Amino acid sequence: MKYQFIQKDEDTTILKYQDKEYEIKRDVELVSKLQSVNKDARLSLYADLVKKGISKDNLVITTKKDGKTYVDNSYLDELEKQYIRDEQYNLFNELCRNYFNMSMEELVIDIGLNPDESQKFGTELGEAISGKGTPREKK
Amino acid sequence: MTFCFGYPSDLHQAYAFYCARYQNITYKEFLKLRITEFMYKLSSIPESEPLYNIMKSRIINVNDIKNKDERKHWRKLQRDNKIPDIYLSKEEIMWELSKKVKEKL
Repeated sequence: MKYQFIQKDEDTTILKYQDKEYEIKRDVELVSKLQSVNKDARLSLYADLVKKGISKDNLVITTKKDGKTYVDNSYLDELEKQYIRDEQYNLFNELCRNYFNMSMEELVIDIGLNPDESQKFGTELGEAISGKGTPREKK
Repeated sequence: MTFCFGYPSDLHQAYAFYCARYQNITYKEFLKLRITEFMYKLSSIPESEPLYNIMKSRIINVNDIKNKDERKHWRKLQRDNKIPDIYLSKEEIMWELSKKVKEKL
C-alpha cells in the first residue's frame, strides 16, 4: 500500500505515505465551504451568462405540441452540473493546498500513484475531507 | 435542510449562540471548532435561543397548527428564515417542493 488513511478521531484523519504524515481536520469553516459549493457555482454561472449577454431563459427550450407546453431544461442543467463540478474541483484543490501544500495532481505524483490508483485515492481523499458522517443535514 | 453552514445568516446565528451559551470566542476561532463537537452542541440547542426557532420554522408543518394566529406567525418565520435555493442541491430543492405540494393537499 502506497498510502494510508488513518482515522485519528471523529474529526481528524491522517494521510500517511512514505515518511510523510498530514493531518486532515474537519472544522466549521470546512463544512461551510463544502456547503457553499452549489451557491458559488451558480453565482459564477450567472456572472458568466451576464458577461455573454444571455439569460438563463435563453438556455431553456419551450415547445408547444398538441396544446401542451414542454419545457426542456437539459442544457441549463448540464451547464449547472459542469459549473458545480468545476467549483468542487477548485475547492478540492484549494483544500489540498491548505492541508498538503500542493495541488491534487502534485500530491498524486508525490505519492507515486498510477491513473487507476489515483482515482481510488481521489475518492478516499474526498471522504476524508468531507467525512463519512459529516453533518450532511437530514432532510 | 434545517441548518446551512454555507449560508452566512445561519453561520452568524450559530456563532452568536455559541458565544452566548459556551464561551466568548472570536469568529475566527469559531470557524476552527471541530465539526462533530459543534454539531453535538447545536443538536441540544435550548428553546430560548433565536436559532432554535429559525431551525424549527424550517421543519414545522404549519398546517398542523390549529391556532390561526400561531399558524400565521410560523408561516412568517418560515418565509423569513428560508434557506435560499441557491445553497441547495437539485435533490434538496425537489424534496422541498414535494413537501410544499403535500402540505397544500
